[in-house]
Amino acid sequence: MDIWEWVEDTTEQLREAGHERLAFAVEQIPQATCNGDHEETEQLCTEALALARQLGHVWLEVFIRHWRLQSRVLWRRDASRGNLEEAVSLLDFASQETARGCPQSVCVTQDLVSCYGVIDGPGYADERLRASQEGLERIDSNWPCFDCLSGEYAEALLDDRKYTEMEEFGVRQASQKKGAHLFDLSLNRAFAELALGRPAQAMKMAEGLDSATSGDAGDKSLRVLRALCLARLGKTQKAIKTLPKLEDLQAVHWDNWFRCLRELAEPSLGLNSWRIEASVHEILGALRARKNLYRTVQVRRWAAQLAVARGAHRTAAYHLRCGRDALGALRRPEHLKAQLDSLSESLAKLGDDEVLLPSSVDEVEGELGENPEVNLVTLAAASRRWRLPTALVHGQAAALRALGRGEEIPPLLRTAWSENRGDPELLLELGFELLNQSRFDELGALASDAEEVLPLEADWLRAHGLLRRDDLVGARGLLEKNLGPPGETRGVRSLLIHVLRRAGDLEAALEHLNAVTEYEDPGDADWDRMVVATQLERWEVVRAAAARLELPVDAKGEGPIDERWGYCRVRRRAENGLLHTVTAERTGPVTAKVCEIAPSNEPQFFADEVVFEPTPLSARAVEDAREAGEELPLQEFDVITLVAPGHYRSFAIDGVHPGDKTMQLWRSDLADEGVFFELFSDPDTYRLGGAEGHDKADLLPGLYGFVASPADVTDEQLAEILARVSEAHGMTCIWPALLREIGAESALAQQMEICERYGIEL
Amino acid sequence: MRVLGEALYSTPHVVVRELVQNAHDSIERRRYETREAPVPEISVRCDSANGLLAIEDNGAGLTAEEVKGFLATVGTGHTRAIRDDGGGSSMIGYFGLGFLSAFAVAKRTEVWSCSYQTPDRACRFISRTGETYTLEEAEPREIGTTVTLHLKEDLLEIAKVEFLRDLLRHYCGLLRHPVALDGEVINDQPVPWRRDEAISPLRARKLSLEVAGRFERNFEPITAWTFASAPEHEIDVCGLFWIQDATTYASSDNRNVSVFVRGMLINDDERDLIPRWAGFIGAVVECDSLHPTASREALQRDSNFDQAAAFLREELIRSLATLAGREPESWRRAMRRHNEGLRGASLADPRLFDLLADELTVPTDAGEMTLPAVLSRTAGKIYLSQAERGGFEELLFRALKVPVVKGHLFAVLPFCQRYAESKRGALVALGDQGSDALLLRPAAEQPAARARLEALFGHEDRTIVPSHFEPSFLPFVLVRDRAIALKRSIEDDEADRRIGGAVLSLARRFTKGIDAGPASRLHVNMSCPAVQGLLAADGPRAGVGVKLMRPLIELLADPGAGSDIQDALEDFSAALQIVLAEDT
Repeated sequence: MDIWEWVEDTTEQLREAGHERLAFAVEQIPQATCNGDHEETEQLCTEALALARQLGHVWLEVFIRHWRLQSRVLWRRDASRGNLEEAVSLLDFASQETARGCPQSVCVTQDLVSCYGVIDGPGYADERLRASQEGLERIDSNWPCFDCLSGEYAEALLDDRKYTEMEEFGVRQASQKKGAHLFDLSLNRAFAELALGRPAQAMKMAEGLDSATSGDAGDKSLRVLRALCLARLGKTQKAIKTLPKLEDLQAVHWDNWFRCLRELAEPSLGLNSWRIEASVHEILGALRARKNLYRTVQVRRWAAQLAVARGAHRTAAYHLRCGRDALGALRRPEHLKAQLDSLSESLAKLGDDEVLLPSSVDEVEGELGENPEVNLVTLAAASRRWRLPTALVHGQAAALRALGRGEEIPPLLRTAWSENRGDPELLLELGFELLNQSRFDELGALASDAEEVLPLEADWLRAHGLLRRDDLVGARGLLEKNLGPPGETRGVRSLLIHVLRRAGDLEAALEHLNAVTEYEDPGDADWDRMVVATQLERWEVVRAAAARLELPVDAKGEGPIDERWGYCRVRRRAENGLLHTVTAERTGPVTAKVCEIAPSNEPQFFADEVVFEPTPLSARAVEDAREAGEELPLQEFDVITLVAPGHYRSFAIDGVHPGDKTMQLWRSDLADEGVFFELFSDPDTYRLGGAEGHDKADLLPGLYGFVASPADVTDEQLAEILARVSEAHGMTCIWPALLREIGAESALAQQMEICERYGIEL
Repeated sequence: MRVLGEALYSTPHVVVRELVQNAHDSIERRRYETREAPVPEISVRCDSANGLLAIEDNGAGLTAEEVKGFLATVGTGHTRAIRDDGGGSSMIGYFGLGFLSAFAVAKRTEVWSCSYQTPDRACRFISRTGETYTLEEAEPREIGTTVTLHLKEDLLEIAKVEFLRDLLRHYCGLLRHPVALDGEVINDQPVPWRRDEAISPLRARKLSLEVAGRFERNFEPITAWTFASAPEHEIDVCGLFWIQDATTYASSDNRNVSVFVRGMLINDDERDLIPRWAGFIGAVVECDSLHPTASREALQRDSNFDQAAAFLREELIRSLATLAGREPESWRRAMRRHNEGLRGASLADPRLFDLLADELTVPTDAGEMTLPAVLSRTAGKIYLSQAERGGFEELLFRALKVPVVKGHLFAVLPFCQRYAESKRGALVALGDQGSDALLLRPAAEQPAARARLEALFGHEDRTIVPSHFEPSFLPFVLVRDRAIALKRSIEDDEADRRIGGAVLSLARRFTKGIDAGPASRLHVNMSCPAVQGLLAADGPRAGVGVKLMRPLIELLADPGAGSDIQDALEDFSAALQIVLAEDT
């Protein structure tokens, strides 16, 4: 059974039935998976699965779920509970009467077998061999999954270290395929050659492989294998050049990448430095999350070997310790345990890292260099001799962070804090570390613990914790409790102002801002004061703040500030959250009125009065234009509040451009009726008269734009105003959308005639 | 030779590139070997009437011996020899195969050459297929080489001036030595990333757009910007990115990447140099460290390729992040055009996600909305449906005017998940057991009420869970336990008949870990007045109430889980008849 033929037929049928999107996804999912674009696979599968279920297409459901598991388990090595459950569920689903005939239904065996291979390869080797064999018995070598299941069987043999048997199996399967391409199996065969100590044969095999049909991920597998062969053959430089970087690889490549790096571990080659530790920890984190029990210990072993090679004995011992702790979860740990034991013995012979401590703790900082691995050893030794000052504890935390061991930082800081409970820096560092990891309960406990010695800092941490969880009331209470007199606790007051503004208590925010400006030079607080006072319509405060900032506001004026400050652009969000930038007339330091009419199918902001954040968004663009000596763009600001909505709506106007003078008079008469017009078209390029029988030379300049009318003018009134004012100026223009809206059929028919006469395309 | 030449290249048109490249390398050779620097001249002439194409240079020229060695022997170009000698860093050729392309297009190939080594002697090489040739002494002229091709009948178009101009611009537009076609220099247009002289940011932007427009085949560029690696980068790369002005859908892949090595176009579809998520990006990449394949129509996938790709990926993310501040209008336009593609892209890199999370929209049953806009209407929850047609919960949320995100569409579910994890809001995937806790709050323990509910609605295979949830008019939610269903199906003897024993034992290994339990949980809404009314009622009224409410359990069960609606409606109808009979 040829799966791909079935896929081709199915997608063709889907397209014929109008299910283009599903057809596209079905074609794309395997390709994205083999190219290592797993996010894309996930996204396509979610959509495709919903569509396939909607159609009740059981076979396609099997196909999509299988490929999603291929991406997750086979390539990303993720056998966490959800995926294991899905593999079992798919096996159940694919074996039901309605799905059994699906050409992909055999392959689901591989998904489940792979899960156990990922969890504990050698531990489940026997079960995997039996299940793969069973699957192979259901098919012949013409099935594409013959390759996959053979690959799975081969991998189980490799995990079981049955290399010779694997080699024989490979030859046998290849002969059944009569020389056809068996990419996965061939990779495994080459690896068996390596394991048997025959790198030249492995290299020959790797060189003969073509990854053309296996996508980018297959290409990377091949490159890592070739690099490993080259390294084993002693062709070091070529191996380095061939080996892809870890960040370009996927989980499926990690094992051979580590094996290769182990061959290239000599520090002078530049690959094995302390920096590798961060990658090791990142991988260990991923392996933990993906339930790779066996591989976790294996990576610990490789990391220990790399550490030994670069002389980092403490790091090696640490990995060996962690590796041994994880052995208990394995079904057959003997081989790995022996390897760890042997490495431990060698390490013991090498002894601990050499540390020459200075005579006093004050000199330790001077001993620290750029290598965090070495620094950590130095600081650990120093901590055994002295109680470390806070700066050195920070150094330990920084080293751990650089080495990817961030989870060890809170315990480290907690110990330091328990030994030095009066240190605010230590408290805040630990607190913010917990905050960044969203460990709120621990943060609360820490604040309680610090309450007595550092009450202000304890509340500061609590307030940040509450803010992170959007508890504005709680945060406000804590900040108010700790507020000192004006001039002191500026940080607390600033955060309080921020909280008050977020909570909408502008009166209180303004009070604090007024207090700040009493003892600070004119500056940011005045601008903030102007914004808040404008929102509250406290115009005297706005004028006072503007005067302090020497802004050209009429200080003697009263009531709302409604001046002409020129044009600007204001950026605001529509109801659906999307940002729109529109032109507005600035009416004061932080206020503007929108003067741009939007088309009828877009959110309308015309005549909206807004308060904006006075820090311009366009500083860079203005600077660029100034540098180029070009016309400066309008300043752009973010809208904070809508003070008064314009409530205008717009309708399209099309027709013949009457010339600038008439146009202006028409516009002005409309404006007198409270209706505004904005021209969208360019009379030089928008020409009318393209209808049949018209000569091109007769083309007339066209007019296209939108009128905006206020809420107190009804649609019927607007239609009447437009008709009357346009007729008065002899204008030939139409507003069919408006007429349709009010159901003015005869007027609409007349306008349609104009439309036809002038070749206006609606 | 002719066959080899035809097999090596995908199109005979590359002859123009190969011969111009040889001319270029010959000029470089002359500079390298003689330290002379004559003003470089590469001149292309064509005569379409007679099917003639000639490429002339004032490079090093070839001696008769060299002609025999280089032109007549496959794979032995002099460029490689110079490179192996440690020189020739600005030379383009590598394999010594370029000249083969001449035999693929010409019925007769003539090379006249006068070497700087023998300026008073010139030679002429003539061959039809490349397999045999004549080599004769010729009249010496200025030092240099002229290759003249007598084109085959079916390839005469190559000698047409318009066609040739396009070809030369395509392949040689960035070559540093001037290439003239019938006297007109075709590669003198400036490119903005080669900052030979300082230009203002605005000018650079305009020039970038102009150049992007030349390279972009299918779309207008919205905005374009240059990039260049710094000394600390592992590889020297420079060029131009642009965003295409076309609405893309989901995983559309319109990546358009032209790669130039030493000024010569290698491939105009080297899309893998930029990340897969960048399906709306075009780029021109100049990088002299990339290694072309033998045909020079693609790049070798080696560590240099990886380094260039890594640099471009980082640069793209960095520059997209700054584009928002640099050109906000263009950025917003790009976001509207590529909302779906960017949603996918943001999931591929956390930095992009941070940049885009609040700005991209997701489809909801109330139209496209950003997640902050969704959250502002749902009290901090992202309600998400995973089916094309949602279940009863979706209908209820619609009734409550709460937007429900359409999670089954491209990249929506993971985008919402990540938003809830890293920004704010709680994701409530409707119909998902994991989200039940967010929707269904357990009610305070009231043993009497529980006992009553057990008596009224209990079932041997169902747990009763007194709960509170919105909307309060809804009395029940029945949640079926999928894990239990799976356990029962896999552990049933019937499974042995349809699943192979070995793989079934692996499956059972998993289901053994699932605790046995009832197949479903009935959440009874203690906030529902009908439920409270039922608990307060007694005697026959309670009996009728139960009969009326019980059918609702099946009707309100999660869709697709085998609700027996027919039975439910029949029960309901029967109960209603009792009520109506009582009333009458």
